[in-house]
Amino acid sequence: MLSEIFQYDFLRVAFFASLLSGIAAAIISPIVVYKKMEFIGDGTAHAAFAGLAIGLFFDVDYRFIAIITAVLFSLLISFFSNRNKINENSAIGMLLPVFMSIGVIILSKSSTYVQDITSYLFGDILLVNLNDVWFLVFVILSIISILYLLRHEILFFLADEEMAEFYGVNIKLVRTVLLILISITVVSVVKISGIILLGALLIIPGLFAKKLSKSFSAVFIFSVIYNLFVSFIGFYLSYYFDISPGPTIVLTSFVAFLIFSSIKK
Amino acid sequence: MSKFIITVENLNYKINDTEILKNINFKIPEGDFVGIIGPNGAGKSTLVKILIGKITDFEGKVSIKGKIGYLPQFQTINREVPIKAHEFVLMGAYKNKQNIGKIPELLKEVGLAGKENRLVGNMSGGELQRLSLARALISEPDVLILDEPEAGVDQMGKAKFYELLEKIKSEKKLTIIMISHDIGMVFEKCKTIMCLNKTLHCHGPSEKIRPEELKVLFPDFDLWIRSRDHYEKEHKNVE
Repeated sequence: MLSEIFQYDFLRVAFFASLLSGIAAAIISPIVVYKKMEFIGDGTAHAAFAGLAIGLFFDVDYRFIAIITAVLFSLLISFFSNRNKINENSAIGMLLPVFMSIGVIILSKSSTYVQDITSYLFGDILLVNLNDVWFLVFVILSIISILYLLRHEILFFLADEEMAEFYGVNIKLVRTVLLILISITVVSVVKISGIILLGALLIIPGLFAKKLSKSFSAVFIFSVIYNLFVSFIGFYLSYYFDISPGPTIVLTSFVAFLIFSSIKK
Repeated sequence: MSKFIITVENLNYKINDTEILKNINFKIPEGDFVGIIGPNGAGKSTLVKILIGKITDFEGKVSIKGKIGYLPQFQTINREVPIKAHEFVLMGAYKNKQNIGKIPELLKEVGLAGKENRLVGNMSGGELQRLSLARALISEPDVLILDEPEAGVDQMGKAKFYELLEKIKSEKKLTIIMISHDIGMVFEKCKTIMCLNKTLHCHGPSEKIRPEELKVLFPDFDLWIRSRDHYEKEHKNVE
């Protein structure tokens, strides 16, 4: 069956893209889960939608603009929660529909509206090209490098934010860097998983890894293994049953987590 | 004559129009062991936050000569994060990387020898409190501030912790400021008592603080006295 997939260029690209998306989301997932930032992952995905819409409307590379809108969204969240002392989740709840509305209004003026909105909402792995694969490789290497460089700061931030700040860790900088990394991850993965389904790739591996890991580095390794496994199985099932890969990977991930949770209470 | 390590003059702090601290003045000499007591909402934790530099928008003058070590209530820790004991202590050496080599020695000092690789999430309240003490000590503080060190720690753990604190205080010539709800323990261990209820109601040697002064401040003072008597009786029985 795998050799069949590798016969076709577009399937080969789609296969590697889905595995790489899994890796990218899995690396950032433990941070999202430990810091209870699940909602922000979802929020940045919706903010990226505004960037996608602008990209489509002006016929320019969506990635660059989507990263800008996603980062802008996360910085606004940071700004509102730091400056106005608005709860982070309330700020996300307030800004998410704003960015989504901007995207919908721009797309409603575009001739490609109906076809593309579905692709980006639910993902369309078959639209992925070689550029997307290289972009994912670049994102993964960048995230790994930054996480490695800031490993102590991030660990202290996650374990004891208040005291990390007391001992001199620049918490605002760590938080902002993490929000930017989440935004870039979201944009790199969104074509494969779609805005709506992205949350599963970003949350479930972290939940899985949290239950098994006995060290901070192990958390990331388990998270990546989990997403690689479900992306592989999900892609294979979607090919076999001729169904959409994005939702199949999400369902595979969910079912795998259910089985795991019932075994390891 | 001993030097003053902390001087607070005309300290006032408000949130919106609500007065949290009003006209606070005190001086703490080097090597003192101060217990801060007061009812809930008296501004004790706010005073600590001002001393550690977390709150800066106050009126008045606060001067601290030396480095501060701080033990928060242990609830600030996210126990789900798999951080090991030595990594946890490392946090305290974030700005003093040259002290990293002292971690095993410090863990031994606080009774956690050989537990470098234990996950913090698996530790008891008492162990975690002693680990936090090691984290505070690695930054080589001159003043140690503790915010309710007894919270979440069982009776055995508390006794062990205070014993350790006294030992470390004399060895390292530390000045200690401690907020506590455990009045028996405060009167037993602290050289100086401060009674705070938005303003400083009393400040002096523990043996000279009169019950009448405290009774004005705390409606449930009788209960406290009973707990203090009970503590002393228990203590004598043990002896």
